[in-house]
Amino acid sequence: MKSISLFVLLLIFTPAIKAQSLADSLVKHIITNSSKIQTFSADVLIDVDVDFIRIPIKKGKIFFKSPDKFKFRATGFALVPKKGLNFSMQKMLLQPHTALYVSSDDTNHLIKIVPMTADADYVIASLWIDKNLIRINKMEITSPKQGNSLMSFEYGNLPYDLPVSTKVSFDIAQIDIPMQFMGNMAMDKKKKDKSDKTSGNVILNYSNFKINGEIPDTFFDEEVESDSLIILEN
Amino acid sequence: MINLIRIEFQKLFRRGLTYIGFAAILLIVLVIQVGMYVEGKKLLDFLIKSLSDVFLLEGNLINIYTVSYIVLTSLWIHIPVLVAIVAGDMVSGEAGRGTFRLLLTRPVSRGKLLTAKYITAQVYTAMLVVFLAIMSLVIGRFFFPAGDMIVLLETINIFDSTDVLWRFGAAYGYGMISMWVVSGLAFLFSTKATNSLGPVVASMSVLILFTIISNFSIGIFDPIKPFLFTTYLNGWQLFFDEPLRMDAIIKAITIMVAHITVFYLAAWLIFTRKDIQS
Repeated sequence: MKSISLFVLLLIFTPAIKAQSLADSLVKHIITNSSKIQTFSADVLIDVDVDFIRIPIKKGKIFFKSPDKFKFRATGFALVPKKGLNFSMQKMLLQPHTALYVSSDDTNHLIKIVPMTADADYVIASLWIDKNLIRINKMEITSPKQGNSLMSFEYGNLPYDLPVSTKVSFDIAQIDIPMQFMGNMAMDKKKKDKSDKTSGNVILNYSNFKINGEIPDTFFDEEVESDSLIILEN
Repeated sequence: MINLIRIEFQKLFRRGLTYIGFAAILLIVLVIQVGMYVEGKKLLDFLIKSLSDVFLLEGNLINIYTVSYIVLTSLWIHIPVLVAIVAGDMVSGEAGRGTFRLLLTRPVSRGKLLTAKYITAQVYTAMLVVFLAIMSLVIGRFFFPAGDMIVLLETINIFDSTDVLWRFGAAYGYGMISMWVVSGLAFLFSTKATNSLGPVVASMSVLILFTIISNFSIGIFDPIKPFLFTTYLNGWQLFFDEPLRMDAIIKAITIMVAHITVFYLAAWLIFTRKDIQS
Protein backbone atom coordinates (compact mmCIF):
# COMPACT_ATOMS: atom_id res chain seq x y z
CA MET A 1 0.00 0.00 0.00
CA LYS A 2 2.85 2.32 0.94
CA SER A 3 4.67 1.68 -2.30
CA ILE A 4 1.50 2.41 -4.33
CA SER A 5 1.07 5.73 -2.52
CA LEU A 6 4.69 6.61 -3.22
CA PHE A 7 4.25 5.70 -6.87
CA VAL A 8 1.14 7.89 -7.18
CA LEU A 9 2.93 10.80 -5.49
CA LEU A 10 5.88 10.42 -7.81
CA LEU A 11 3.50 10.26 -10.77
CA ILE A 12 1.90 13.54 -9.67
CA PHE A 13 4.98 15.51 -8.69
CA THR A 14 7.64 14.33 -11.13
CA PRO A 15 6.37 16.44 -14.07
CA ALA A 16 6.04 19.45 -11.73
CA ILE A 17 9.56 19.01 -10.41
CA LYS A 18 10.84 18.51 -13.94
CA ALA A 19 9.01 21.63 -15.14
CA GLN A 20 10.34 23.62 -12.22
CA SER A 21 13.89 22.60 -12.93
CA LEU A 22 13.34 23.46 -16.61
CA ALA A 23 12.14 26.96 -15.63
CA ASP A 24 15.18 27.44 -13.43
CA SER A 25 17.56 26.19 -16.08
CA LEU A 26 15.99 28.46 -18.72
CA VAL A 27 16.39 31.49 -16.46
CA LYS A 28 19.93 30.44 -15.60
CA HIS A 29 20.73 30.12 -19.31
CA ILE A 30 19.36 33.58 -20.01
CA ILE A 31 21.32 35.11 -17.11
CA THR A 32 24.49 33.39 -18.36
CA ASN A 33 23.95 34.70 -21.89
CA SER A 34 23.16 38.19 -20.60
CA SER A 35 26.28 38.23 -18.47
CA LYS A 36 28.36 37.87 -21.63
CA ILE A 37 27.39 41.46 -22.35
CA GLN A 38 29.33 43.55 -19.88
CA THR A 39 28.85 46.86 -21.68
CA PHE A 40 27.26 48.04 -24.84
CA SER A 41 26.26 51.18 -26.62
CA ALA A 42 23.94 51.54 -29.59
CA ASP A 43 22.16 54.13 -31.67
CA VAL A 44 18.41 53.97 -31.26
CA LEU A 45 15.42 55.29 -33.15
CA ILE A 46 12.38 55.82 -30.93
CA ASP A 47 8.92 55.82 -32.45
CA VAL A 48 6.27 56.74 -29.86
CA ASP A 49 2.67 55.94 -30.70
CA VAL A 50 0.45 57.16 -27.86
CA ASP A 51 -3.02 58.55 -28.46
CA PHE A 52 -2.39 61.93 -26.83
CA ILE A 53 1.28 62.41 -27.65
CA ARG A 54 2.54 63.65 -31.00
CA ILE A 55 6.29 63.35 -31.28
CA PRO A 56 8.45 62.69 -34.32
CA ILE A 57 10.76 59.67 -34.46
CA LYS A 58 13.73 60.61 -32.29
CA LYS A 59 17.34 59.55 -32.53
CA GLY A 60 19.31 58.69 -29.45
CA LYS A 61 22.16 56.68 -28.08
CA ILE A 62 22.01 54.23 -25.20
CA PHE A 63 24.81 53.06 -22.97
CA PHE A 64 24.69 50.07 -20.66
CA LYS A 65 27.09 48.58 -18.18
CA SER A 66 26.37 45.37 -16.30
CA PRO A 67 24.54 44.83 -14.07
CA ASP A 68 22.33 47.90 -13.98
CA LYS A 69 24.06 51.07 -15.17
CA PHE A 70 22.18 52.77 -17.95
CA LYS A 71 22.33 56.09 -19.70
CA PHE A 72 20.36 57.54 -22.56
CA ARG A 73 21.25 60.53 -24.67
CA ALA A 74 19.10 62.03 -27.41
CA THR A 75 19.34 64.86 -29.87
CA GLY A 76 16.53 67.11 -28.71
CA PHE A 77 13.80 65.75 -26.49
CA ALA A 78 12.93 62.06 -26.35
CA LEU A 79 10.64 59.74 -24.44
CA VAL A 80 12.02 56.30 -23.64
CA PRO A 81 9.76 53.72 -22.02
CA LYS A 82 11.06 52.76 -18.58
CA LYS A 83 10.07 49.17 -19.14
CA GLY A 84 11.12 47.75 -22.45
CA LEU A 85 14.82 48.10 -22.49
CA ASN A 86 15.76 44.45 -22.31
CA PHE A 87 18.55 45.01 -19.80
CA SER A 88 15.89 46.04 -17.26
CA MET A 89 14.94 42.37 -17.59
CA GLN A 90 18.49 41.32 -16.76
CA LYS A 91 18.33 43.37 -13.56
CA MET A 92 14.98 41.80 -12.76
CA LEU A 93 16.31 38.24 -13.12
CA LEU A 94 19.27 38.95 -10.89
CA GLN A 95 16.96 39.86 -8.01
CA PRO A 96 15.61 37.03 -5.80
CA HIS A 97 12.69 35.42 -7.60
CA THR A 98 10.84 32.19 -8.25
CA ALA A 99 10.50 30.95 -11.81
CA LEU A 100 7.41 28.87 -12.60
CA TYR A 101 7.03 26.85 -15.75
CA VAL A 102 3.54 27.41 -17.19
CA SER A 103 3.28 25.96 -20.67
CA SER A 104 4.79 25.90 -24.11
CA ASP A 105 3.68 26.42 -27.70
CA ASP A 106 5.38 25.60 -31.02
CA THR A 107 8.14 28.14 -30.56
CA ASN A 108 8.21 29.29 -26.95
CA HIS A 109 8.32 28.15 -23.37
CA LEU A 110 6.18 30.30 -21.11
CA ILE A 111 7.47 30.90 -17.62
CA LYS A 112 6.31 33.25 -14.88
CA ILE A 113 8.67 35.13 -12.62
CA VAL A 114 7.47 36.03 -9.16
CA PRO A 115 9.66 38.42 -7.15
CA MET A 116 10.75 37.22 -3.72
CA THR A 117 11.60 40.64 -2.30
CA ALA A 118 9.15 43.13 -0.87
CA ASP A 119 10.73 46.09 -2.64
CA ALA A 120 10.60 44.62 -6.17
CA ASP A 121 9.19 47.09 -8.69
CA TYR A 122 7.09 44.44 -10.42
CA VAL A 123 4.37 42.07 -9.28
CA ILE A 124 4.76 39.30 -11.82
CA ALA A 125 6.46 38.82 -15.16
CA SER A 126 5.78 36.39 -17.98
CA LEU A 127 8.59 35.35 -20.28
CA TRP A 128 8.16 33.68 -23.65
CA ILE A 129 11.50 31.97 -24.22
CA ASP A 130 12.53 30.67 -27.63
CA LYS A 131 12.72 26.87 -27.48
CA ASN A 132 15.70 26.56 -29.81
CA LEU A 133 17.74 29.67 -29.14
CA ILE A 134 16.86 30.08 -25.43
CA ARG A 135 16.34 33.82 -25.59
CA ILE A 136 13.37 35.98 -24.68
CA ASN A 137 11.02 36.65 -27.56
CA LYS A 138 8.31 38.33 -25.53
CA MET A 139 7.92 39.55 -21.99
CA GLU A 140 4.98 40.91 -20.03
CA ILE A 141 5.54 42.76 -16.77
CA THR A 142 2.88 43.80 -14.32
CA SER A 143 3.98 46.53 -11.97
CA PRO A 144 2.03 48.41 -9.31
CA LYS A 145 2.83 51.85 -10.76
CA GLN A 146 2.73 51.27 -14.49
CA GLY A 147 0.23 48.45 -14.95
CA ASN A 148 1.00 46.02 -17.75
CA SER A 149 3.85 46.36 -20.22
CA LEU A 150 4.27 43.91 -23.05
CA MET A 151 7.59 43.77 -24.87
CA SER A 152 8.33 41.93 -28.11
CA PHE A 153 11.94 41.51 -29.15
CA GLU A 154 13.36 40.97 -32.62
CA TYR A 155 16.92 39.80 -32.99
CA GLY A 156 19.36 40.33 -35.83
CA ASN A 157 22.61 38.58 -36.54
CA LEU A 158 24.47 39.75 -33.47
CA PRO A 159 26.61 37.19 -31.65
CA TYR A 160 24.89 38.22 -28.41
CA ASP A 161 21.26 38.10 -27.34
CA LEU A 162 20.62 41.77 -27.94
CA PRO A 163 17.48 42.73 -29.82
CA VAL A 164 17.69 45.00 -32.84
CA SER A 165 14.08 45.99 -32.40
CA THR A 166 11.82 46.14 -29.36
CA LYS A 167 8.13 46.89 -29.38
CA VAL A 168 6.76 48.00 -26.04
CA SER A 169 3.01 48.14 -25.45
CA PHE A 170 1.75 49.62 -22.22
CA ASP A 171 -1.18 51.22 -20.44
CA ILE A 172 -0.93 54.91 -19.79
CA ALA A 173 -3.24 57.23 -17.91
CA GLN A 174 -4.83 60.03 -19.92
CA ILE A 175 -3.24 63.30 -18.96
CA ASP A 176 -5.54 66.12 -18.05
CA ILE A 177 -3.66 69.04 -19.55
CA PRO A 178 -4.20 72.31 -17.70
CA MET A 179 -5.14 74.45 -20.67
CA GLN A 180 -4.68 77.75 -18.88
CA PHE A 181 -0.95 77.18 -18.88
CA MET A 182 -0.46 77.24 -22.61
CA GLY A 183 -3.72 78.60 -23.91
CA ASN A 184 -6.61 76.75 -25.41
CA MET A 185 -8.14 76.67 -28.83
CA ALA A 186 -11.68 77.90 -28.63
CA MET A 187 -12.25 77.15 -32.28
CA ASP A 188 -12.96 73.79 -33.81
CA LYS A 189 -12.26 71.61 -30.78
CA LYS A 190 -11.57 67.97 -31.39
CA LYS A 191 -13.59 65.40 -29.52
CA LYS A 192 -11.72 64.05 -26.52
CA ASP A 193 -11.80 60.46 -25.41
CA LYS A 194 -13.04 60.50 -21.85
CA SER A 195 -11.60 57.10 -20.85
CA ASP A 196 -9.03 57.23 -18.04
CA LYS A 197 -6.54 54.83 -19.59
CA THR A 198 -5.27 54.37 -23.05
CA SER A 199 -2.73 52.03 -24.54
CA GLY A 200 0.48 53.11 -26.15
CA ASN A 201 3.22 51.57 -28.23
CA VAL A 202 6.86 52.48 -28.56
CA ILE A 203 9.14 50.87 -31.11
CA LEU A 204 12.85 51.03 -30.44
CA ASN A 205 15.12 50.19 -33.37
CA TYR A 206 18.76 49.71 -32.45
CA SER A 207 21.79 49.90 -34.70
CA ASN A 208 25.52 50.49 -34.59
CA PHE A 209 26.11 48.27 -31.55
CA LYS A 210 29.41 48.49 -29.73
CA ILE A 211 29.53 45.55 -27.36
CA ASN A 212 31.89 45.01 -24.42
CA GLY A 213 33.88 48.18 -24.99
CA GLU A 214 35.33 50.30 -22.22
CA ILE A 215 32.78 52.54 -20.55
CA PRO A 216 34.00 54.05 -17.29
CA ASP A 217 31.61 54.02 -14.32
CA THR A 218 31.98 57.78 -14.00
CA PHE A 219 30.28 58.16 -17.37
CA PHE A 220 27.01 56.97 -15.82
CA ASP A 221 27.32 59.16 -12.76
CA GLU A 222 28.37 62.44 -14.28
CA GLU A 223 26.90 64.71 -16.88
CA VAL A 224 29.44 63.59 -19.48
CA GLU A 225 28.49 64.32 -23.06
CA SER A 226 28.10 61.07 -24.98
CA ASP A 227 29.88 62.62 -27.97
CA SER A 228 33.03 62.98 -25.91
CA LEU A 229 33.05 59.27 -25.04
CA ILE A 230 35.03 56.93 -27.24
CA ILE A 231 34.09 53.30 -26.77
CA LEU A 232 36.82 50.83 -27.56
CA GLU A 233 35.46 47.52 -28.75
CA ASN A 234 37.11 44.40 -27.44
CA MET B 1 -0.79 108.45 -51.30
CA ILE B 2 2.71 107.41 -50.19
CA ASN B 3 3.35 110.98 -49.14
CA LEU B 4 0.14 110.95 -47.08
CA ILE B 5 1.14 107.70 -45.39
CA ARG B 6 4.61 109.13 -44.67
CA ILE B 7 3.03 112.18 -43.04
CA GLU B 8 0.70 109.99 -41.01
CA PHE B 9 3.68 107.95 -39.80
CA GLN B 10 5.51 111.11 -38.77
CA LYS B 11 2.47 112.20 -36.81
CA LEU B 12 2.08 108.76 -35.30
CA PHE B 13 5.63 108.46 -34.05
CA ARG B 14 5.63 111.96 -32.59
CA ARG B 15 3.01 110.86 -30.08
CA GLY B 16 4.04 109.14 -26.84
CA LEU B 17 0.95 106.92 -27.10
CA THR B 18 2.53 105.08 -30.02
CA TYR B 19 5.39 103.80 -27.90
CA ILE B 20 3.18 102.41 -25.12
CA GLY B 21 2.58 99.23 -27.12
CA PHE B 22 6.27 98.57 -27.71
CA ALA B 23 7.16 99.34 -24.09
CA ALA B 24 4.38 97.07 -22.80
CA ILE B 25 5.46 94.18 -25.05
CA LEU B 26 9.10 94.65 -24.04
CA LEU B 27 8.20 94.58 -20.37
CA ILE B 28 5.75 91.67 -20.51
CA VAL B 29 8.06 89.51 -22.65
CA LEU B 30 10.99 90.14 -20.32
CA VAL B 31 8.89 89.34 -17.24
CA ILE B 32 7.69 86.05 -18.76
CA GLN B 33 11.19 85.12 -19.94
CA VAL B 34 12.74 85.79 -16.54
CA GLY B 35 9.90 83.89 -14.85
CA MET B 36 10.35 80.91 -17.14
CA TYR B 37 14.12 81.05 -16.72
CA VAL B 38 13.76 80.78 -12.94
CA GLU B 39 10.72 78.52 -12.52
CA GLY B 40 10.01 77.11 -15.99
CA LYS B 41 11.47 73.67 -15.45
CA LYS B 42 9.57 73.14 -12.22
CA LEU B 43 6.34 74.19 -13.90
CA LEU B 44 6.81 71.91 -16.89
CA ASP B 45 7.85 68.98 -14.70
CA PHE B 46 4.56 69.39 -12.84
CA LEU B 47 2.58 69.45 -16.09
CA ILE B 48 4.12 66.32 -17.57
CA LYS B 49 4.65 64.48 -14.29
CA SER B 50 2.39 61.58 -15.20
CA LEU B 51 4.49 60.94 -18.30
CA SER B 52 7.54 60.35 -16.14
CA ASP B 53 5.84 57.31 -14.55
CA VAL B 54 6.08 55.48 -17.86
CA PHE B 55 8.87 57.27 -19.71
CA LEU B 56 12.37 58.44 -19.09
CA LEU B 57 12.30 62.06 -20.23
CA GLU B 58 15.52 63.09 -21.90
CA GLY B 59 16.27 66.61 -23.08
CA ASN B 60 15.38 70.14 -22.16
CA LEU B 61 11.95 71.42 -23.12
CA ILE B 62 12.36 74.82 -21.50
CA ASN B 63 13.97 76.47 -24.46
CA ILE B 64 13.52 79.50 -26.67
CA TYR B 65 10.69 77.96 -28.69
CA THR B 66 8.59 76.71 -25.78
CA VAL B 67 9.00 80.03 -23.99
CA SER B 68 8.16 81.98 -27.17
CA TYR B 69 4.99 79.94 -27.48
CA ILE B 70 4.03 80.76 -23.89
CA VAL B 71 4.78 84.43 -24.55
CA LEU B 72 2.49 84.28 -27.57
CA THR B 73 -0.41 82.78 -25.63
CA SER B 74 0.00 85.24 -22.80
CA LEU B 75 0.28 88.31 -25.00
CA TRP B 76 -2.49 87.52 -27.40
CA ILE B 77 -4.91 88.70 -24.75
CA HIS B 78 -3.14 92.03 -24.30
CA ILE B 79 -2.07 92.93 -27.82
CA PRO B 80 -5.63 93.83 -28.95
CA VAL B 81 -5.70 96.51 -26.25
CA LEU B 82 -2.38 97.94 -27.40
CA VAL B 83 -3.51 97.88 -31.01
CA ALA B 84 -6.85 99.51 -30.22
CA ILE B 85 -5.21 102.38 -28.32
CA VAL B 86 -3.45 103.57 -31.46
CA ALA B 87 -5.99 102.57 -34.13
CA GLY B 88 -8.81 104.05 -32.07
CA ASP B 89 -7.00 107.38 -31.98
CA MET B 90 -6.17 107.61 -35.69
CA VAL B 91 -9.29 109.53 -36.78
CA SER B 92 -10.93 110.51 -33.50
CA GLY B 93 -7.64 112.00 -32.27
CA GLU B 94 -7.73 114.54 -35.11
CA ALA B 95 -11.35 115.33 -34.27
CA GLY B 96 -10.51 115.68 -30.59
CA ARG B 97 -7.58 118.00 -31.29
CA GLY B 98 -9.70 120.02 -33.70
CA THR B 99 -7.31 119.60 -36.62
CA PHE B 100 -9.63 117.88 -39.08
CA ARG B 101 -11.15 120.92 -40.75
CA LEU B 102 -7.71 122.39 -41.25
CA LEU B 103 -6.44 119.08 -42.59
CA LEU B 104 -9.29 118.76 -45.06
CA THR B 105 -8.67 122.20 -46.52
CA ARG B 106 -5.66 120.56 -48.22
CA PRO B 107 -6.28 119.29 -51.77
CA VAL B 108 -6.70 115.68 -50.74
CA SER B 109 -9.87 113.63 -50.82
CA ARG B 110 -11.43 112.28 -47.63
CA GLY B 111 -11.21 108.76 -48.99
CA LYS B 112 -7.46 109.09 -49.60
CA LEU B 113 -6.86 110.64 -46.19
CA LEU B 114 -8.82 107.88 -44.50
CA THR B 115 -7.02 105.18 -46.47
CA ALA B 116 -3.63 106.67 -45.53
CA LYS B 117 -4.64 106.68 -41.87
CA TYR B 118 -5.97 103.14 -42.16
CA ILE B 119 -2.79 101.84 -43.78
CA THR B 120 -0.72 103.59 -41.09
CA ALA B 121 -2.78 101.95 -38.33
CA GLN B 122 -2.44 98.52 -39.91
CA VAL B 123 1.31 98.91 -40.51
CA TYR B 124 1.67 99.94 -36.86
CA THR B 125 -0.22 96.78 -35.87
CA ALA B 126 2.10 94.70 -38.04
CA MET B 127 5.08 96.41 -36.42
CA LEU B 128 3.83 95.44 -32.96
CA VAL B 129 3.49 91.79 -34.01
CA VAL B 130 6.96 91.80 -35.60
CA PHE B 131 8.36 93.44 -32.47
CA LEU B 132 6.79 90.68 -30.39
CA ALA B 133 8.36 88.06 -32.67
CA ILE B 134 11.79 89.69 -32.39
CA MET B 135 11.51 90.06 -28.63
CA SER B 136 10.44 86.45 -28.18
CA LEU B 137 12.66 84.64 -30.64
CA VAL B 138 15.75 86.86 -30.85
CA ILE B 139 16.11 88.48 -27.43
CA GLY B 140 14.98 85.23 -25.79
CA ARG B 141 18.11 83.56 -27.14
CA PHE B 142 20.08 85.40 -24.45
CA PHE B 143 18.14 83.44 -21.81
CA PHE B 144 17.36 80.12 -23.45
CA PRO B 145 18.97 77.62 -25.82
CA ALA B 146 17.24 76.28 -28.92
CA GLY B 147 15.62 72.86 -28.69
CA ASP B 148 12.55 70.77 -29.28
CA MET B 149 9.32 72.49 -28.45
CA ILE B 150 6.42 71.21 -26.38
CA VAL B 151 2.88 72.43 -26.93
CA LEU B 152 0.05 71.31 -24.68
CA LEU B 153 -3.19 71.52 -26.60
CA GLU B 154 -5.75 68.74 -26.80
CA THR B 155 -2.70 66.51 -27.11
CA ILE B 156 0.93 66.84 -26.09
CA ASN B 157 2.72 67.93 -29.24
CA ILE B 158 6.48 67.81 -29.34
CA PHE B 159 8.10 69.39 -32.37
CA ASP B 160 11.62 68.91 -33.58
CA SER B 161 13.63 72.14 -33.38
CA THR B 162 14.03 72.05 -37.18
CA ASP B 163 10.25 71.97 -37.60
CA VAL B 164 9.45 75.00 -35.47
CA LEU B 165 10.53 78.24 -37.14
CA TRP B 166 8.12 78.00 -40.07
CA ARG B 167 5.31 77.37 -37.59
CA PHE B 168 6.20 80.51 -35.68
CA GLY B 169 6.43 82.45 -38.97
CA ALA B 170 2.98 81.24 -40.00
CA ALA B 171 1.55 81.84 -36.49
CA TYR B 172 2.84 85.42 -36.42
CA GLY B 173 1.46 85.92 -39.95
CA TYR B 174 -1.91 84.62 -38.83
CA GLY B 175 -1.69 86.70 -35.67
CA MET B 176 -1.03 89.79 -37.76
CA ILE B 177 -4.24 89.21 -39.72
CA SER B 178 -6.24 88.68 -36.53
CA MET B 179 -4.82 91.89 -35.03
CA TRP B 180 -5.72 93.73 -38.25
CA VAL B 181 -9.33 92.78 -37.53
CA VAL B 182 -9.12 94.34 -34.04
CA SER B 183 -7.29 97.36 -35.42
CA GLY B 184 -9.89 97.70 -38.18
CA LEU B 185 -12.69 97.58 -35.61
CA ALA B 186 -11.07 100.27 -33.45
CA PHE B 187 -10.45 102.34 -36.59
CA LEU B 188 -14.12 101.99 -37.57
CA PHE B 189 -15.23 103.28 -34.15
CA SER B 190 -12.62 106.00 -34.46
CA THR B 191 -14.39 107.44 -37.53
CA LYS B 192 -17.58 107.92 -35.48
CA ALA B 193 -16.05 109.34 -32.32
CA THR B 194 -14.69 112.76 -31.42
CA ASN B 195 -12.39 111.59 -28.64
CA SER B 196 -9.82 108.78 -28.44
CA LEU B 197 -11.16 107.01 -25.40
CA GLY B 198 -14.53 106.14 -26.92
CA PRO B 199 -13.25 103.95 -29.78
CA VAL B 200 -10.80 102.11 -27.49
CA VAL B 201 -13.50 101.34 -24.92
CA ALA B 202 -16.05 100.46 -27.62
CA SER B 203 -13.73 98.09 -29.46
CA MET B 204 -12.64 96.46 -26.20
CA SER B 205 -16.29 96.03 -25.19
CA VAL B 206 -17.09 94.36 -28.52
CA LEU B 207 -14.01 92.18 -28.18
CA ILE B 208 -14.92 91.07 -24.64
CA LEU B 209 -18.57 90.45 -25.54
CA PHE B 210 -17.73 88.46 -28.67
CA THR B 211 -15.02 86.51 -26.82
CA ILE B 212 -17.53 85.52 -24.14
CA ILE B 213 -20.02 84.41 -26.79
CA SER B 214 -17.29 82.52 -28.70
CA ASN B 215 -16.26 80.60 -25.60
CA PHE B 216 -19.70 80.09 -24.04
CA SER B 217 -20.83 76.49 -24.30
CA ILE B 218 -24.48 77.41 -24.69
CA GLY B 219 -26.32 76.10 -27.73
CA ILE B 220 -28.14 79.34 -28.42
CA PHE B 221 -24.87 81.01 -29.51
CA ASP B 222 -23.68 78.14 -31.69
CA PRO B 223 -25.17 79.45 -34.98
CA ILE B 224 -23.43 82.82 -34.67
CA LYS B 225 -20.07 81.63 -33.33
CA PRO B 226 -18.62 80.77 -36.77
CA PHE B 227 -19.23 84.36 -37.91
CA LEU B 228 -17.57 86.12 -34.97
CA PHE B 229 -13.97 87.14 -35.52
CA THR B 230 -13.19 86.42 -31.84
CA THR B 231 -13.76 82.72 -32.54
CA TYR B 232 -10.64 82.82 -34.72
CA LEU B 233 -8.30 85.09 -32.77
CA ASN B 234 -6.57 82.10 -31.15
CA GLY B 235 -6.39 80.25 -34.44
CA TRP B 236 -2.63 80.81 -34.72
CA GLN B 237 -2.39 77.81 -32.39
CA LEU B 238 -3.54 75.66 -35.30
CA PHE B 239 0.00 75.91 -36.67
CA PHE B 240 1.18 74.06 -33.56
CA ASP B 241 -1.24 71.19 -33.98
CA GLU B 242 -0.45 67.91 -35.68
CA PRO B 243 -1.65 67.11 -38.28
CA LEU B 244 -2.08 70.61 -39.67
CA ARG B 245 -5.76 71.37 -40.33
CA MET B 246 -5.52 73.53 -43.42
CA ASP B 247 -9.30 73.67 -43.92
CA ALA B 248 -9.74 75.25 -40.47
CA ILE B 249 -6.90 77.70 -41.13
CA ILE B 250 -8.25 78.77 -44.53
CA LYS B 251 -11.76 79.17 -43.12
CA ALA B 252 -10.47 81.30 -40.24
CA ILE B 253 -8.37 83.53 -42.50
CA THR B 254 -11.26 83.97 -44.95
CA ILE B 255 -13.64 85.08 -42.21
CA MET B 256 -11.07 87.46 -40.72
CA VAL B 257 -10.28 89.00 -44.12
CA ALA B 258 -14.03 89.46 -44.66
CA HIS B 259 -14.20 91.30 -41.32
CA ILE B 260 -11.24 93.50 -42.25
CA THR B 261 -12.89 94.38 -45.57
CA VAL B 262 -16.29 95.12 -44.02
CA PHE B 263 -14.79 97.26 -41.24
CA TYR B 264 -12.75 99.28 -43.75
CA LEU B 265 -15.70 99.82 -46.10
CA ALA B 266 -17.94 100.84 -43.19
CA ALA B 267 -15.27 103.28 -41.95
CA TRP B 268 -14.92 104.69 -45.46
CA LEU B 269 -18.69 105.14 -45.81
CA ILE B 270 -19.00 106.82 -42.42
CA PHE B 271 -16.03 109.13 -42.88
CA THR B 272 -16.81 110.27 -46.44
CA ARG B 273 -20.36 111.17 -45.41
CA LYS B 274 -19.51 112.63 -42.05
CA ASP B 275 -20.31 116.23 -41.18
CA ILE B 276 -17.01 117.37 -39.74
CA GLN B 277 -17.50 120.17 -37.30
CA SER B 278 -14.12 120.38 -35.63
